[in-house]
Amino acid sequence: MSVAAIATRSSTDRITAPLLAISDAIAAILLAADLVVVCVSVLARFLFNAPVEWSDDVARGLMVGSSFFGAASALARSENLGVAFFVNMLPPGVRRVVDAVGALLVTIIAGTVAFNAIKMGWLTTGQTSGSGLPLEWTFYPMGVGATFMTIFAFETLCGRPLRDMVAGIVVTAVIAGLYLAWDALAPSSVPSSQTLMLIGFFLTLFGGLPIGFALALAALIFIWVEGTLPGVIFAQQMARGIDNFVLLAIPFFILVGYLMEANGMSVRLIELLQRAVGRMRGGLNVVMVMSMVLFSGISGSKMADVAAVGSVLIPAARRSRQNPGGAVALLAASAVMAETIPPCINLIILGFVANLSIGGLFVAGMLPAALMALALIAVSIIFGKRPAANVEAEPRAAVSGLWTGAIASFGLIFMIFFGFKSGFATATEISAFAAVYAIAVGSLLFRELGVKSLAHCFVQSAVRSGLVLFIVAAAQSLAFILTLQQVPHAVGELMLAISGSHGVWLFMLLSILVLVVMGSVLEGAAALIIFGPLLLPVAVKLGIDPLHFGVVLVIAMGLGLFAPPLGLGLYGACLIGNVPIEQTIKPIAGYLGLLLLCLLVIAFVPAISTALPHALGY
Amino acid sequence: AWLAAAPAIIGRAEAAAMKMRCSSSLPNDPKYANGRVYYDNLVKSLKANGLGEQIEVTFFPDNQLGQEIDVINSVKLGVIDLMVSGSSISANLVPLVGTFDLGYLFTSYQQQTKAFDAGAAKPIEDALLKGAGIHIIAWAYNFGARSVLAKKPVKTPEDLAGLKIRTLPNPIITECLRLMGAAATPLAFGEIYTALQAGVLDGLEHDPPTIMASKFYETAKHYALTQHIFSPLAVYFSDTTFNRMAPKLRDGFLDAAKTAATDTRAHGLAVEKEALASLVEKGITVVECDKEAFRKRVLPQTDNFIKARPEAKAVVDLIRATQA
Ligand code: NA
Ligand code: NA
Repeated sequence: MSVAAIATRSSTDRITAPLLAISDAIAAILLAADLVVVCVSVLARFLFNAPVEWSDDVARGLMVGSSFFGAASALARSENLGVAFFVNMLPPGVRRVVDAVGALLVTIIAGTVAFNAIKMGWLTTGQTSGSGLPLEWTFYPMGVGATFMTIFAFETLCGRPLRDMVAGIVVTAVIAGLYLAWDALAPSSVPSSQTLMLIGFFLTLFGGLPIGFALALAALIFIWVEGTLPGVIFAQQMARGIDNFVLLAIPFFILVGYLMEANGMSVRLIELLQRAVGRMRGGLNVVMVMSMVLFSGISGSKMADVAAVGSVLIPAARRSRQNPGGAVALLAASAVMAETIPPCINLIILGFVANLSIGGLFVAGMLPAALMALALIAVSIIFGKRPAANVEAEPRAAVSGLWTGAIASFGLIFMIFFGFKSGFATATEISAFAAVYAIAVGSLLFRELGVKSLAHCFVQSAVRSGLVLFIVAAAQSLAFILTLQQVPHAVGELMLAISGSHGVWLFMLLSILVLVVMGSVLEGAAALIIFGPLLLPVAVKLGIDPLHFGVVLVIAMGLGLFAPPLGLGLYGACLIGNVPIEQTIKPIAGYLGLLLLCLLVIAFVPAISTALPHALGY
Repeated sequence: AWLAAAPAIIGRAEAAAMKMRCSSSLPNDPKYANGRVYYDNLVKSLKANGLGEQIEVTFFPDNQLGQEIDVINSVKLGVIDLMVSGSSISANLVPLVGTFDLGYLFTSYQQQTKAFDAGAAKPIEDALLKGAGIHIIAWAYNFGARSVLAKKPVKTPEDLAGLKIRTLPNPIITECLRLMGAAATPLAFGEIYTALQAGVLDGLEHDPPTIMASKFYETAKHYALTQHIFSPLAVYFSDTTFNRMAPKLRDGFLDAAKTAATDTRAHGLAVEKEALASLVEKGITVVECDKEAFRKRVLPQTDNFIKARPEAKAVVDLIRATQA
């Protein structure tokens, strides 16, 4: 899904095509190795009472490596997300120069990541990780992955027309030169490093630079301008932003999502729902909402869910002469609703950065999601029409083993929810077994998952999770800089002061506003990484239950992510449904208004979020 | 809008004062968290030394600046000036520091202080400065010895046999627990609570204040006072910062930092007792166990360690020769 595509050529006619194949293969193999390490370590502990001491370190190291190679492959295919809204309004000539500057910046940023990661590997040689393995093993694979990224970015830059390329280099050099001249001639009047960092961040972000790179560049601008921090600290923070066992659930649940599509579970599940409720009033819309509920209960990737459901149901909406814009809007709204249905990447990320129980967050999100799902279903039925008669005349793809498929899918949901209650594995480890289950079901039960499509699933998942985790890593490097400047502390004090004089309700509303706006500007995860640890301690001080507040933050961020005109999630849904964004704006405004109403109810009736986790002992 | 306002908020600090960053992995708890307690004591003794205006220390609790392994590397690089943490983390930089993690090396914290006063830690301090550019300004206590909290009473090594006990992901501590009889299970700290609840783990080993603060007493009810590790708390200081300071200011600072460590030691002993009493109140059974039986089983660990690192012998001998 390319939103602000910086590349101009397709991936097939690249000179670096063999390199891309290598990058794909490394990312997928590291992910597969990770799956094996986690499963073997759980089995050794459970069956033979012999925990594997190095498994945690190795699993995390493999994930860091896989993420950077996956992110490199994503960059080569121009899959990185960026804000296109503003650059689309520029005149074509200016736009081409802005894109060239972007391509140059991506090359410089990727090169800086590579250089500092390798230098950090060299500096930490001889040191050991927790379990006694060489520490540099984390940094060298990251450095090589980032080197691949640099090569792909450089080729993309060189693929532009010579005139644009030169213009881009000149513009970038002039901006850097102006700063250096200012700093040399009148150093006392130069804005502070924080100010320059902010200007650079918003300029590049609204100029269409992919989010992860805009975040990393902001951190780099600070390091360059401020002058006392070593560059390796940037690489260190990027690596550590994702070097955590809990985050392993992200690639594994994304893998589950792709496997479900490849192994035939998705089709069977949607078909079953269509037969059950598809013929009632507003039936197709109800099917769409319910499909999203089920899919997000299985996979961890929202975009995978949207793709799976959208690619089946949007064409069905077209066939039944429904407004496809309305259907895409409902798909996007359902994705917001499903934001807190476990397993969910954003809840995992929030739990990780704000030090909350991920199991607790999962449980806390269920009733709020149910409330929003009911609201969407009610609206679908009230405003829905009966399906046109000609739909029945449409030939339906014959699907074998409908019930077997559905039961297998529910088996997966059951396993995820109750697997870790049994003492077999932790919530993170269960994600690995969910992936193994999907592979087993697909290859043995349905016989639809061959070696080739399995390999393809691993590549796709590694690339997609590399994309997500690269943004997480970059956001961490910026969050580190902000923390060093004590920005979270200052903002926390400010918000406490405001709420102290006006009440907790104002703090809650402000938090929702911040997350909606920032969720729209940044890709969701980055907004949570920066604002989660900043707002949560304040909420706790004000007496708000942290699980309740966490759920509110994630839903608010989801609203922003799918809100026009900037929300990247909405662009994704439009691409999948093949509908221009203009057609969705009116219906999505209605749906998002409804969800905002639900969010306010959730925000001011804490019991909706806290009742379930308290009953289950979180 | 807040981001734009932030520089103005931060920019207010006095330009003249020397700024230092102090990091701790523990939460910002002024009673149970050793990092915060040390920081409070440091601010107090800096003021007492008349340096309150000249040195401004900012405290970063809760791993805000990264995981411990990153923070210790940042101390090495001079990005972070001070770090308050257990000795174990620096063993990843200089393996000799791992000596202090050996099971049943110390008999009590008071004995440890006597041994350190006699010079037992000197070779380790020298190795850390030479190998990683990190000074240890002072040693204090972790807030209690590490003991085993389990779902069933553990009195003897036989009781511990086969129990999945979470250990710090550290090869020496893992080996100690294995020698004691447990199936040592290294696991990330954040996963402990749910893993105990679900039965993935049968217990963990930690000090009483941590068990109290993290609510582990809700899921396992028997605290066996195995007291297998009394590893010290270290106040790490960057050599880069050390060299950046004017000698007079530095002497005043180091003196204040040492006084703060002494105060923290007294606080640590009191809090350990208090946390143990609170655990009993919360329904925990404190189990007196056969420490001698555990100690005998763990003894070969120290012998093997010395064989691999002969430079540890002087340290171990001096500690063993010190009476409580
Ligand atoms: Na999900
Ligand atoms: Na979800």
